[in-house]
Amino acid sequence: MGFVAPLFLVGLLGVALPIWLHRLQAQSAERQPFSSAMLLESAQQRVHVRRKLKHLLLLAARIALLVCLAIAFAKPFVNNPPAVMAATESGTHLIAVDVSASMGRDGVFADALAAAREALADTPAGALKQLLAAGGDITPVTAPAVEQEVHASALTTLEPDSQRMVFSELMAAADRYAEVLPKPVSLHLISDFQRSAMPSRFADLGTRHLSRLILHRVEAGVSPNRGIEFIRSGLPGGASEGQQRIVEVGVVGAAGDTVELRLNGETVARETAAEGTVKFGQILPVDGDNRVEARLLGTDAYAADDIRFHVFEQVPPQRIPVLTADQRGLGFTYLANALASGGSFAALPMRVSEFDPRVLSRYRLLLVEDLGVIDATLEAALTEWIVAGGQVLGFAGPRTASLERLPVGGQSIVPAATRARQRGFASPARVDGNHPLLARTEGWFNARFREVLPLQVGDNDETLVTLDNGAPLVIETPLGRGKLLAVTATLHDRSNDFPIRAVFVGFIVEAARYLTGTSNLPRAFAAGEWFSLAAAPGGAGQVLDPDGNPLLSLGGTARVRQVRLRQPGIYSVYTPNKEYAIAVNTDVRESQFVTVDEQVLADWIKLTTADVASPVVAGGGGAAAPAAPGSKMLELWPWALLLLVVLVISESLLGNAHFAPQAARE
Amino acid sequence: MPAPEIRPGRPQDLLRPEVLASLRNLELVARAAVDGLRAGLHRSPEFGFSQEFAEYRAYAEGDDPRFIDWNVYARTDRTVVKRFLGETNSHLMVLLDASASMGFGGPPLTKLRYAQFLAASLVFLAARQHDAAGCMLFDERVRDYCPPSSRTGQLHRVLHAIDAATPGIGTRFDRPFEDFSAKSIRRGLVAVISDFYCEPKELIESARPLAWQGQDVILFQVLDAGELEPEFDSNVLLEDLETGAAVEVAAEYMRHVYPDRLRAHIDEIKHAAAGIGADHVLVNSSESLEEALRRYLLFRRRRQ
Repeated sequence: MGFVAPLFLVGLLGVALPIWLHRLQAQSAERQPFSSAMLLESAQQRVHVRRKLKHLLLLAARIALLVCLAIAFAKPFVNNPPAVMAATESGTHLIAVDVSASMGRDGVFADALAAAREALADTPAGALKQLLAAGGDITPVTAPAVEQEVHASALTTLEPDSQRMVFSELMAAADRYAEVLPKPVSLHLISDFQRSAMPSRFADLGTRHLSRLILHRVEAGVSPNRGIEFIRSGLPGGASEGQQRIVEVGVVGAAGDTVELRLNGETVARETAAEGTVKFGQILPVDGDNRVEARLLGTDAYAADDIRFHVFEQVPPQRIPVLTADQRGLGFTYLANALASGGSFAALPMRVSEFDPRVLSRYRLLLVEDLGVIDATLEAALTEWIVAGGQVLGFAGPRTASLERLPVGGQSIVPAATRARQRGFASPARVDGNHPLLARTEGWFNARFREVLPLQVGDNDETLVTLDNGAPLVIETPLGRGKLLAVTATLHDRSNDFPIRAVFVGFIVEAARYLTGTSNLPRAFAAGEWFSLAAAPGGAGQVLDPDGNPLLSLGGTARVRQVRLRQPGIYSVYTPNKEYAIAVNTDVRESQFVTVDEQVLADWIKLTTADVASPVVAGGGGAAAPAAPGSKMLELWPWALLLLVVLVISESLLGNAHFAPQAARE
Repeated sequence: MPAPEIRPGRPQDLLRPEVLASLRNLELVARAAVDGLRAGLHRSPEFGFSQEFAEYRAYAEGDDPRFIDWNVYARTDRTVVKRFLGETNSHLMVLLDASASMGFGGPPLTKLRYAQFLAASLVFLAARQHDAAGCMLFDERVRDYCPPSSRTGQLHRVLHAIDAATPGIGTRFDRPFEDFSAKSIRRGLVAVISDFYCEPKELIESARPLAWQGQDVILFQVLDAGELEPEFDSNVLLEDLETGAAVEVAAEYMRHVYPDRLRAHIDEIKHAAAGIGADHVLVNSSESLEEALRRYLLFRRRRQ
């Protein structure tokens, strides 16, 4: 049972009024004070009990009246009336039409609709039927009904969407419908049967309540597809920073066709495509988010992949000071290259001997190649800066090993004489994947460390990465408003291979983002995916679709955490701090028209028939069963109104009896 | 209710309950009650016993020469001294029940308010006769105690204490009477004003020590017309003012049975009072205060 306008149920709060009034009345209900009850004798006839019952009846009538009124306005309805279920004798036929993006090829969807009509016509006349649209979501198009015309006319409303369909999700949804529908339930699936729509595990296609699977393959034409697979943007070769960008557009099957590139709504270049990648050089983006749209001119059978969207941010790289003893050394080189790889940061070398701590006030983050080079004066200045909000990422270089305590952090270092001798290499064993710094870095377990600084971790420290010998590798130490991120390994590849592993680059970039508070919002999505507003700075905001329509209500901007991106294009995300653009494209797997083998389809049919459970009584679905989506809606509000009229009359009669003169009652 | 007419020169008119209900000045009521009563009786000299001549006695050495009656000496050449009854002045103690049940009654007056006027009148009357007067307010315990005295200002102290009485909780006679017995040294007149909703046996047990002390006890039982002749048209849920217990009673019972049971209860109280030599006066709070005071004065005369 559901409600068309559930907000009217707030009116149920009005029930409190008669309860309150009756309570007031009950409190003063004909109790008369008398000087003493010692000479009184209780009456045999319990009149007040009788009267109290009358009051309760009146109260109940009034409450029921208000409840009925609220329910009538809320327009209740129920799905799947048992009478309809019982009416069928030939089971149920679910007709699922694939409406994924790949079905938008010329003529394919028309063939699918024709196949669906044929499937409908082939079903027994007395059988219950229901039409499903299988796209990014599996949605019911019609309610279960025997009448064929209802479903046939609903077919005309179907059209392919831009999302990807996966067969395992379709089978799971159909199974849920089948659970509450009269048995046996047959599923007719009309699709182009792309191989890319198959789940990774064949067993995921299994069902419990479907009795039969009938597959209707829609054959596409043989014309080759051409399309755009990806768009990449970057700095021109060799440059670490600069205003100009190059844009690469990956095309397939489009040799000789023209690719048009639009930047922020204006056509900036057209190139004739060769097979592979089309490069657009000397693109001059604006500062901030740039919206790129690449389009293959001309037409082909599948237009959805002829256009692709891309967003990149043009900001000058943020300079990060790196405190180093030797800016030509390997340590600095590793750090500088890793920082530059993200495109958002650039290393600014600062020699220890020439370092003036007063420049720290210009920066948010300082990288230290070897924490051991920090003397007492510098340590005091650094500590003061960190407490005020500065961030330090430091490595335990060779000079740190000879100290008794870690500069700035203050952790004790186990003296060299008492250290256990490290045999062989140690590898990271525990990585705190929940930490925002490490959530997106992979490959830790491949790195090997011969020697790390044996630090004694304090209560205030958080160990983010621990080696398999128990030694901490990455430690976070909060100090006032800032923090120190200490790596107990050196940047020299003689004692570990960390700096030459891919994880090092990811770690340095993510650490720089984490410590500088730079957002790393994903900018590319496939149609049908969910965008998490929680990932945006501020955790809330408004999302506008490519047509500029807001996807959230005013209240939803503060409450909703995830938004479904249904159509391709460039969406705008407005957060309290900033406006972002995100690109949504049709899933490239929808452009892969390789179909499922006949043998696999045969196995699928066998799997469904073999997996069918013993027949279930209609309507016997458990709590997990869906509330019969798409079923026929029976509105209950006329009955509620009728009951309301009866209650009004009852209340009037009871009220009259209640307010009648006392003598008359007696 | 139309305003009651008060005729000039007739202070008794003030004593009608409907007039009393509009009066806040307890002293005014007491003064009106006493003056009106005296005017009505025309026997005021008889009541001034404190200055009354008692006897002549031969002068003895040590007697105060100021009391020698020089007229007698002139006629008989003998020195005699004059003695007055005033030397044996009595005292009045009013024990006022201020329990919750006394809050019943009216309109126009609750039993307690009526009892306050009655107590004030008694005290005023005693003061006029130069008797020492005091009062004690009680419910389940002694709530206020004003020891008897004839000093200047005592009248106002007692009247103020009486005026401040408000309905309290339940009624008990044993503990307040014990306290009073312990405090009372001189014999005198004890006026207990209550509705006496208690077991007569309990009342007797509580009042017996007072009688043994030689106190003259008078019980004023103040009841409202609504108790003496209840009028209910239908069954009703009555709530005990003291215990909060609710009893549903039939109208028939209240009209016919209850008055009889109340009469029987009053008779038992009266009989019990007689058992300890006390006098019992039933006072209907819907009647004039004058009648109650008249009964009191007759009682006083009988005792002298």
